[in-house]
Formats: sequence, C-alpha cells, structure tokens
Amino acid sequence: MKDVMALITNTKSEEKLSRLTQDRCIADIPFGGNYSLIDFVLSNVVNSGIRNIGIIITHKYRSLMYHLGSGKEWSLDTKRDGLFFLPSNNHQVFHKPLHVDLRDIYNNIDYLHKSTQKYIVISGANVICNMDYHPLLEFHKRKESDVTILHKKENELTPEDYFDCDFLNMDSNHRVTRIVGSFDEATTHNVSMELCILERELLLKILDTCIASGNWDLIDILNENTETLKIYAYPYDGYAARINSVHSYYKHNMEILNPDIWEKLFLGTHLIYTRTKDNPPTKYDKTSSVHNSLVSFGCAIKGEVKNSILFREVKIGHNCNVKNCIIMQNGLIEDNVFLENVIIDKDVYIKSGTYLQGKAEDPVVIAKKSVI
Amino acid sequence: MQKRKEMLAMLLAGGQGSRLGLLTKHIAKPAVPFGGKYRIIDFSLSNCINSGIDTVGVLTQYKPFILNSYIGIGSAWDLDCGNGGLFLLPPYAREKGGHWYSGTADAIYQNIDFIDQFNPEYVLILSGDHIYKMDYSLMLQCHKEKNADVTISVIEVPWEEANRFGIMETNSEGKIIQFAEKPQNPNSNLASMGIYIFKWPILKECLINDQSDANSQNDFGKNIIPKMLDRKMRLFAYHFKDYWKDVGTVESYFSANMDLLSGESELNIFDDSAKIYSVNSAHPPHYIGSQAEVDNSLIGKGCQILGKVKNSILSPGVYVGPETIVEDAIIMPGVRIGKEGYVKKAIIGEQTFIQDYAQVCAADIKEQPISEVENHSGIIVIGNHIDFSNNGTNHKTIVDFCNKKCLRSVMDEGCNGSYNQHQKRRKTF
Repeated sequence: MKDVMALITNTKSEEKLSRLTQDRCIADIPFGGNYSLIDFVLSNVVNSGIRNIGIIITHKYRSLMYHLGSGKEWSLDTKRDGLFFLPSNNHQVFHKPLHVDLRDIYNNIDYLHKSTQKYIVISGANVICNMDYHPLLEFHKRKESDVTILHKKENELTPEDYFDCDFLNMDSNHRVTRIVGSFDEATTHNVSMELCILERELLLKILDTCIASGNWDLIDILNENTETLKIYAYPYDGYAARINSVHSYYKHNMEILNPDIWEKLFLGTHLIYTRTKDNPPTKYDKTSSVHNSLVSFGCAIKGEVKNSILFREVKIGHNCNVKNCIIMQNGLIEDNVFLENVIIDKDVYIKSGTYLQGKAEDPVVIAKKSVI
Repeated sequence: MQKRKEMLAMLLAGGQGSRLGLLTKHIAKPAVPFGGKYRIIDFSLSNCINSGIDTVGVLTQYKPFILNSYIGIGSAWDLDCGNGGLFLLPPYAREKGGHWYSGTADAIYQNIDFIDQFNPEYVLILSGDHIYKMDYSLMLQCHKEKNADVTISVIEVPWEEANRFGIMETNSEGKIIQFAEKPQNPNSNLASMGIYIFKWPILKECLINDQSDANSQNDFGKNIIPKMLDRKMRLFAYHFKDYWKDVGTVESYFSANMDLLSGESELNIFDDSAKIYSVNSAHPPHYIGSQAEVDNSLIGKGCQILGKVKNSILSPGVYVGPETIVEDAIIMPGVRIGKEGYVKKAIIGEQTFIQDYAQVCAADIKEQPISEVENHSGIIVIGNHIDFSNNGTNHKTIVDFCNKKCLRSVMDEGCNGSYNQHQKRRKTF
C-alpha cells in the first residue's frame, strides 16, 4: 500500500441530515459513542497502510479540522506524506450536488502532482465499516481494471435507505455496465459504498476532460465511458452502515448495541482510531441501572439507562429514565428526567423533571447547546 | 546549548516493588495499571505537566520494557517538546565500567551530567509509585519564600501509623528540626512523602559527598536528608493537605483503587482543570448487556459486561461473561472471565483468562498454592497472561486454591473453548 494514496471527499447530500449538520459537515457527525463518521474511513485507510491522505473540506469544516488536528491519533503527523486538508474554493451557492465533485479535486491539483503514489483511493465519509483495502487493490490489479468501485449487496433495503445511493449494474464478470442513481433503474441490489480506486495518472486525465467538457461529476464521466474504461465492482461482505438520513443515523447507532456488530465494527479487521480526550473511566453509582447500552468514557450514571448510547462525559441524574436514546458528548441530564427515542446533540443541558418522548421511527433531535 | 531551566524533575521509577508480589513480577511498579484506565506513573507525570514542568528524567532499572514502551517519548503527557521533554535514564557504562543504581541518591548522582545540561536552579525529586494530584509550582513557591536548601513535602498521617513513615518535626516557621525514620515513639505525625525540591548546586554537592561515604546506602531518606540536618542546612516542610497514597503494598494498592469508588473520593479524577493523562488505547465505548448489572463501579473502555459487577474497577478490554459475579475486584486490561463464575476481593492480572464456572474468592488456606496465585491478607492476586482454561495443572490448582465451599463439580469439565477467540482479541488490543 506504499503505492496508494487516498482522498476523502465530502459531497453527500445533507438534506435529510440537516438536524445533525447545523454546525458540522457530514464527516464530523458523532457516531457510536465516541467517534466521528470520518474516523471509520480514515482508520481503514491508515490500517491498510496508506500514508498520504487528502481530506477535501468544502463547508462547515471547523469542527472536522479540530477533530483531525495534525492527524496524530492516526499516526499521520509525519514528515513524509501525512494528512492534508484540501480546501475546495467552491463558492457556488446553487450548485447541484454531485456524486464526486471533481472541481474540489481540481482545485488541489498541485497536491495530486506532488504525490508520488501510483494509485489513488477516493472515498466518501458517510459509509462506515471496518475493512482492509489490500484485497481491493489486489482485485484491481488482477482484473487490470481502470476503476474499481466498492459495493455491497443489500437485500433488505427500505425505501428510506435508497436516498442518495448509487446502484451498480454489472455483468456476470463484475464489470460495471452502468451506475444509476435511483433504485427504479437498478437491475441489482448492489449499492455503491462511495469508494473507488484508480491510477493517479488516470484521475489527472479525467480532470483534463472535465475542463474541456464542463462536466465535473466523476460518476457521470464513468457512465459515459463504460465501453472504453474497464470499470469493475468489488464486493464487500462485512458489516457496513450508510448514514444518509436522521433515520438511518438512529437505526445504525441502535444496531451496534448488538454485541456481534459491536465486535465486528470496532474489533473486527482492525481498530478504529479517534481523537483522544483523556477522560477518566465511567462511574456507575449505587443507584444506577444500565442495560443493553454502549457507554463511553468519563460518564457518571445515577439513573436508569436502557438501549441507549452515551457519548463522553454524559451525566445522568438520579431517578432518570433514559430509553432508546443517543446522548452526545457532555450532555447533562438532571434528576427525574424521562427520555425516550431522543437524539441529544453535544453540550445539551436537560433540567430536572423534563419529559421528552419521540417516535421510534422519527426520533426527536435536540440541537447542540440547547437548555431544556 | 540548552536554555536554562528553572526546575526539572527526576522521577525515580527503577525500584522492584517486591511487596506488590505478582503485580510486579513482569513489569516495573510505575507501569502497574491503576483505576480502570491509568498506570501508576501517570499521576506523577501528569502532575509535572500540570505544574508547568516540561523537563523530566525518568530513572528506570527494574524490568523496564513495558514501562519504556508505555512512556515512549512522553507524548501522552505533552512531554514530547523541544528544549526539554521526557528522558528515560537507565544506568549506563562509563570509561571504567558502570554499575546499577544502588539507591535513590545514587541514581541521581549517576545522572549529574544529565541535570547539568539544563543548568537548573532547582531539582524536584519524585517517586513513581504515588497516587495523588499535586501542583509542584506551589511547593516551589514555598521553597523560594523560605530560601530553603531543600523543601520536603509532608502529609499528616494518623498518629498510630506514624511509626511506618519517615517523620519530620518542625518548628513554628515550618523549618525541620528533627527527622526520624520509622520512629518507635514519634514526636510528630508529619510524614515525608518522598517528594523533594533541592537547590541544584547544594544537592550536587551533597550527592558527591555522600558517594565518598563508604557506609552510606545512597538513599535520600536514610542518608542525604539526615546529613543535611546534621550540617544545619535549611530544611523546610511543605504541608500537603489533599489525597496522597503510597501504593507500595498489595493492601495499599487495593485500597487506593477502592478509594476511587467511595462516594466522595478525595482524589478527583473527574476534575478537568488538572487532568490525569495517560496513553489512550483505541478501544470502543464499553457495552453493558441486557442482563448485566453494574453497581458502584468504574468501567474502562472496550469492556463487555454481560454479568454482574459490583464495587469493582474494570480496566479496558475486560470481558465478564453471562451470570458471572465480580465483586470488590480490580480487573486489569484484557482479562476475560467466563460465564457463571464468581470473583470476589481479587486483583486479576493483565490478559489473564479465567475459565467458565471459576470461583475466585477469599481463600481460607494458609500456604501459597501455586506461583501464579497469591493471597495477600484476604486479597487474591492472580498474575498476568495466565490461561486457566487449559486442562493442565493451572486448572486444577485454582480449584485447590479457592474456598472449598464455593467449588462446583462443573469446574473439571473445562472451558467451552472461546479461548481462541480471546487470543484474537488480545492481538487486536
């Protein structure tokens, strides 16, 4: 993997995630009690041995840059290569969201020129999994492929899950015949995992054609060239979660309460790294009662918690009843509070006696820094 | 040439800590895990950086590998800084050969050249086996105000325990007028905490002097301090009033851990203003199962709790199987306890594997059963990296060791094999 670099893009639609993305980009949405979404792809990249990583930052990136810092936690604070932030300079107000916006990459073309690696992995940040890219690279080389796209066969998708997905139509030899943006046109349930690998030189060539044609969407360009380019699909069969709406965010968080998925996602192929905060262990009081929950560090629990995910430094008071909730970092829940099906963003203060109940299919989202 | 440092710290981390028995069989005492997340040395190193000291020499000698790899270049404590930082100082060879550190003062003596590089005004001497939070800058301020040659940090101990400590007698100004090591009839209850601030030129002179004394044990408490007192130097006491505990024995180690659980813990590890830093492993948040119960406990990262845990401290990556009860116990990182077991008042060493149905509880036998298990006045200590699930001798001996009343015949049926899975988990951590 010495010969591979990675670009992490950030162009998925925020339409259905807007309640969680008011002051952060999708890549920095907190997930799983301790992580940001980007931690998963970044850890996969690093654990696969890739050491040259560019993060494309387009908007609302302060918290993402704070989270990644120098890249120390991912061992990317190195002299050779390392972690690079690539600002997009894209000031269009009404631009159509593209699958992979090559303008962002073109704006940083110097970075591509300076890099020495032969291959480049381009990935989004909203699909989380724990995987090693070695087999993908091997497949790419063996097939003498021009572009290899990672996909997962999903048999139990609900219409909610189709949102903002690409489906790969392919022949029996895994060669992609068309990439389609809606389920109606799809012939299979092969959903793209927003990750592809290609040669850096090819990407530079594609960028040249973008300038000439004015079309900046990588997926469009691939679709127009399925004859001339050998585009293959590489199947992933491990656990993967796609975060494209508040609904899927809630669903996949709750999913990791299943110990099997917890183990696969966090302790599977390798470890997932994140920014560390030096919090103490979590303190369970004599009066606490916690069941089927994922609890991060530095929490102090006195009340009752069930089927919930508590991020760092969450304090739960006496006689609380917290069910099916996600409570993000630094949430302060006073005594005698009832919460069910609620997503509580960071730094929220819920005063004593509050009663909040959301629907299981549509949880209540309490915005960052609210006082209730 | 280094920029001059006002004060640098020398942390004594080379002792064997033999009174901790199995806990220090493979690792140096400062590297022993503590409090569900930390290692003992975290407290002294964090105190240094929280007090504004950015140059720390760590003197190592006994089984240093884990300690060395844990400390690294000190980045976990922000001590990987330019013009200063953290330095590991093992004994080294000179033109005419070298020798081991023969005492606390000798360890500093052998590193006089290291200290001189920084040309400090003051040197702070610390031990790597104390649990406390302290701002050394306040002690330095006191040292300067009194224009002391050495300031010794002292803490009031109960009178009946005063005969276990080095006891300082002070006058009304805080000047030390008498020092007695473990006195039979103490005149004071101010115990030395083994934390000293010296004027460096004076310490240097005392160390060189002490080396030429063939009868000296080269120890701060036994030799350097009494000699300074004899020479009528200015020795002052600095009263420390907060939580402090020497974890030199299994009993004190156990109670210092349990102090974190007592309702109003005097050692506030939750206080953000002076955090205790440590090397953070990449464990996920811990999981509490549907049938699990956790009561008055500290739970570290990456634990998976399916049974019951009460009044206990669980370090990162511990697995507690279904219907297992863990009570009054300290479980070190990566331990796996199978199903339907019972662990009571025990310390279980790192990466040890306790089989299903095992009963680890207060033993009523007198002699030492096997080398991997010890009984320290009712606290059972099990060593590191032991696999009790093998159907070999270990398996039998833990049966013999434990209280006969607790035994179940099912123990002999052995473990239901998820040991390989556990091995895999070990590797990932």
